Amino acid sequence: MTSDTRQPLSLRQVLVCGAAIVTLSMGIRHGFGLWLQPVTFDRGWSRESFAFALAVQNLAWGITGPFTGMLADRFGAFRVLVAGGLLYALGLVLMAVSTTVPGFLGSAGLLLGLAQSGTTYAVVYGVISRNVAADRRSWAMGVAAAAGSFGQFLMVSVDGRLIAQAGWQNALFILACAALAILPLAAGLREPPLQGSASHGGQGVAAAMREAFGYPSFLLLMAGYFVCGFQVVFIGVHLPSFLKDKGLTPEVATTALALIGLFNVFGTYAAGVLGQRAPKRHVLAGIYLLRALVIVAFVTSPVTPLSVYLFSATIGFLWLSTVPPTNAVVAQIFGVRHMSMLGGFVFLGHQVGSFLGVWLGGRLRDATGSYDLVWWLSAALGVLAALINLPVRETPIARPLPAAS
Amino acid sequence: MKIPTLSLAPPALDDSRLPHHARRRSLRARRARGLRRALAWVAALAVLALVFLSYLSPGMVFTLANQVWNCF
Repeated sequence: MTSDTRQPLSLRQVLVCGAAIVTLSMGIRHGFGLWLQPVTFDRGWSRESFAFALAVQNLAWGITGPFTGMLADRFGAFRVLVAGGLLYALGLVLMAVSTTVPGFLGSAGLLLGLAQSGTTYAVVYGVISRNVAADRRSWAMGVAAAAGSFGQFLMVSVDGRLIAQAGWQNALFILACAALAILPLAAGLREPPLQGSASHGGQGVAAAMREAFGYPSFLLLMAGYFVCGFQVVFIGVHLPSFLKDKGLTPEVATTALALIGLFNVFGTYAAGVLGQRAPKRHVLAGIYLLRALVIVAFVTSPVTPLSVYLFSATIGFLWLSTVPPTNAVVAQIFGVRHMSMLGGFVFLGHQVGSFLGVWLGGRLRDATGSYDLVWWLSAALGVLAALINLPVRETPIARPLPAAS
Repeated sequence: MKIPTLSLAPPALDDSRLPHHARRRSLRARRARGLRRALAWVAALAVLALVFLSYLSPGMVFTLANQVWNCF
């Protein structure tokens, strides 16, 4: 492992700036579903066009993640965050003024997906990993993840008000201005350049990728994260529709989403703290197993407002709680030099799972007339993810020392 | 078996060998840190409660419910 001789940034600076950036980037994107009705109504587009743009956004976020992570590891997170913040603002403005479906696909889909990959967890976690000592890293990642969860919780409510009071286009312009706040915050994550042997030499990108993909624990973590994406996005997107099928009112669905958002903040923070004190593979296995149990309890009980609220609070607590331990294990095993890139690859697994969760949820619901099969599939995947996280080896990977010249 | 706790307090320092006035200063500093931490938690919980209540206001429930329901 190459020694990093630079002076680390202060913990407070990293946490405040990192958390604020993730709050903005995760928050702004989370309420995009609220634009479906006004955009499709005003532009005369089908809902499928809008949904397809958001699906492309999620895939673009996942696919470009390893590359933006690679750039952040190579040229510094600051530059990537600045570029990501500018693209975020540009994408929101273009989303507001697009009058054609391809234009909307390019802005709301590709541009915003790329912007998200440059301003979310993988890039910020790279800075946290390099500047926070290993004995506080999982906790620090928990703080940043909790900030992202808070952003999601806050912004759905803010977005709803903005659309109602300012109109959907002005709401997007206001969010574009908010996205520009990422630029000054990124300055707080500007790391001094590497000195000495750390600035050159050491493990290259190709070697790091070969090492990670040849290491079974990395593949197990990716597989676990795939399940996380599948479950979270299936529930987030299809829960209101499921509740509608069961004859519950829209108010129950709204409260359920609010409860998920609220408990998600506590859960992500607690997982970060717990990951500092217990083996992270056990924390991850516990989260996935609990998710499976909560899902089984929900689908085998009568669906009432009370059962929905209990389910929402518990599944909310387990919502993004996989993020801090998963990323902390990656840093622990492979070191911090290629953290953003490797975090991006793991997140790609998450996004593929997200895509399948949304798509299969709708597909199987149409094919069978109910969501039962997908709920059971989610529970089975939860048990599988719990089992595959148990053999993950958390110890730092042993690398041969370079031969003396 | 040691049960993990969620306390974020740093490991306690052994100040039994410090002079009396230094011990008192150390105690005051620790109390001030504890108070700051407690205030930060209260502020965070208050913000979360406010956001949660904003979801439950009648206007917001109506707006969100319409927007969420119209997706399906």
